[in-house]
This record gives sequence, structure tokens and C-alpha cells, in this order.
Amino acid sequence: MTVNPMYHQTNQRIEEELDWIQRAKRDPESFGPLYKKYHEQIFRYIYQRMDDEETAFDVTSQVFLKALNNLHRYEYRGVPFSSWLYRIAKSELYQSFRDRKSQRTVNIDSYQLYDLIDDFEDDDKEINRNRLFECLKLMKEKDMQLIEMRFFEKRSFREIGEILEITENNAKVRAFRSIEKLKELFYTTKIKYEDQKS
Amino acid sequence: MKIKKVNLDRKPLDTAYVQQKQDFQQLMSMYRKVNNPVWKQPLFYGVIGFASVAAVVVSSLIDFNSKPIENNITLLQKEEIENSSVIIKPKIDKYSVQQLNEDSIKNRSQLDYLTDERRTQIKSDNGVDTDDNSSHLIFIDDSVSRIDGLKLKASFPTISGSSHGNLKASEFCAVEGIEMDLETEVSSFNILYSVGLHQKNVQVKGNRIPGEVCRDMEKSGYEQMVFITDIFGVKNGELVYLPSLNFWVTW
Repeated sequence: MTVNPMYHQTNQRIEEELDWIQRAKRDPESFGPLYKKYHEQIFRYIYQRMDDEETAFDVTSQVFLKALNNLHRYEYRGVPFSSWLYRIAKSELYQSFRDRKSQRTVNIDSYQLYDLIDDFEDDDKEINRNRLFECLKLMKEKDMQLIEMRFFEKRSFREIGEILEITENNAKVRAFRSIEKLKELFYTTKIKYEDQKS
Repeated sequence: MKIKKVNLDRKPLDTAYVQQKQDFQQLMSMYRKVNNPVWKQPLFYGVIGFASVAAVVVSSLIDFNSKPIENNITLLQKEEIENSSVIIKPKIDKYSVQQLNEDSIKNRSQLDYLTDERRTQIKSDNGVDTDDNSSHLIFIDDSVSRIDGLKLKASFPTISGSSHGNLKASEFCAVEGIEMDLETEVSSFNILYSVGLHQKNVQVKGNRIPGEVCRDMEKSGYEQMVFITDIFGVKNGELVYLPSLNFWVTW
């Protein structure tokens, strides 16, 4: 899963990136290296949340176009450029859902479900996996996006905070509450199922 | 927003495929399109600028041809009375001249607009008794005139037998000048005409079109509309206000 490389960059790399940004502000043609560096991760972020691949590429193009148009507004004040791009991506994604009347989708892999069940300290049986899968469908979008970012995309709380424009601590609290809701939902359905069985 | 769909184990896209879809040139062309719309292009301003100038020129020409009366009034108000080379010392205050011209052009009842001071001036200019009795002032409109409530039939003054329409310069400048019936003698009038791009307003004593006016019009060398307003006459020793005339003078 994609992890923001900003948090694994050396100071030299960060300075190089800031230099690219300054150049791109003066000459939009110099935006190329930034586009090349972040295109894939922004695309994956978007594609993770929608069904259609072509639409995801279109929305990605819109994100970079918007970024280029608003680049003069970007000032480095601790928020990495990638987080700024993710904010634009989030906004464009929801705009796309409204414009195209398309659906918010969650894409997960089986191993991510087993990881979650492992977190819940339960048996990673097939039945539990299916039950968790059904529970995810019942989650609200705002909870789901925290679970996605924290548990599926393995983002740091700091980065989640920067993308959602909340503090790191707030991101921690919200992610914890979201996972607790999922856990509660999971055990409620499990008890119901066992009651019906007995 | 609700989650409508959860996909499990969707086939992942490989990095090479995603990178293959990168198209920076397309992004730049979109950027240029957004930041350089048609209305920001120099060609657009060339076309629009040319069209604007053309529109202004055409509208001013149309305006010039279709509204000579308003133009005359404006110029009259500003300066032409003082600048006129043929003017016979105007004794009427500007306000009255302006008021009368506007009113005569609009063919309204002009009697109502004459102030006592104006009446006195007109009478004194024409050698008529200046007692302050308004019954001396006779109003004549297109068809009917009044003298203190009495209605009389009236007729238009003429130049070479015409009261309007086309008139040749030789007829217009004829020595007979402005004629009325045998009892009425035209004593003064205002004439508005064009010299080049300018308009001239001349107040004339007597009934003849002055030679200088004719020469001015001849110099201009084009056909033009001439307005003769504020025509005063004397009928049986009383001042008479006569209807205005306009002619399309040809050369």
C-alpha cells in the first residue's frame, strides 16, 4: 500500500522539492518533476475510493491541474507538498461523486481484513472475515476514511491530520473511535449470529 | 455520504501501467487552455477592438444623420450664438433663445413659455409699443392662432412659395426672402445651418436670407437641412410669432 514518501525523505530531498515548487511558481513547465513524483500515489489514493479506473485517471488530472493553478498559494509551513495534494485530491474526489453521481467505494484486500481481525484479537476464520466484510459496508464514510488511511494505507497520524486538516491528536482520537465503532458492530453481529444459531 | 460498495481483492494496477498513463504535456495544454481563454488572446482583442471602433464610428454617423435637431440645440446652447459671423447683436438672453428653439422644434404652444421680459424685448426689437399688455403678442401654430382667446386661421410663411421640403439654393437665397401674406411682414428669424462639421445659428433682422449664410452653405458644398425658427412678423402693427420652417437645400 502507498505510503507518503515525504516522511521518509532526507532534508536534502525536501529542499530539492521546495526548489522545484519555487521554479514551478515562476514557470509552470517546471512542474514536471513534481507531477512525475506524485502522480502515482495521488492516482492510487483516488482509485482506492472509486470503482472506475478511467474516472480515477481523469480526477487525478484535475487534481494536478488545480494544484498547478493554485501553486502560487502554496507556502511551506510544515505541511508537506504531498499532503497539500491529498487535500486537493479529497476535494476533487467528492466533487466527482457529486458531478457524476457515482458511488463512494471501498477497496480492500483479504490480508487487510485478517490484520483487522487480528487487531480485534479474534480468530481469523473465514466466517469472521465475511462478517467483518459485511460490517464495513455499514460504516459511515467519515469513519471509513479514517480506517482506510490508518489501517489499510498505513499512514501516520500526523499525515492523516494534515490531509483531513485536523491535529495529529485529533486524528488519533478519531481513528481510535472509528475502529471501536467497527469493533462494536462486528461483535454485535457476531452475537446475533450465535444467538440465531443456538 | 454513504458507502455503496465494498470490493474485496480487486485486481491491483501495476506501477508501470499507472506511469504509462502519466501525460504531463496534456496537463500543460489543459493548463494553458484554462489560463489563456479566448478573451485573453491578442487576436481576440484585435477583432473586438476593430469591431468596437467600427461600432462607435457607425453609431456616431447614424446619430449625426438622424438627430440634427438635438445637435443643433446643443451647439446653440454652447457657443454658436457668440461665434456666428453674421449675427445681428442678439438682444435676447440665451435662456430665452434656447427655450424658444426647443419649443418651436417640438411644436408646442410657445406662448406659454414667453416670459414678460422676453415679450418686452421682442416688442422693443421690432419697434412695437412696449406696454405690458400680452394681447399684442399673437401666437400662431400650424393650424390655429389665438389672440387673447380669439382663434384665427393662420398660414405658414414661405420661401419661394415653399414652406418645407426640397429647395434649390437659388430659390432659398432669393431676394424675396421669407414671405407671409400681404398684411404680415417678417421682421426677424433664426437660421440654423451647417458649415463643414460645425453648426451655425444666426439671428437675422429682416426677411432675407443673408448673403453670408448663402456663401457659407455654398462653401460647404453639400446638401443640408436648414432650420428657420423664431420667425417674428408684424401684422397691422402687432408682433406675430410665426411657425418654424425647415428645408432640404440642394445645390
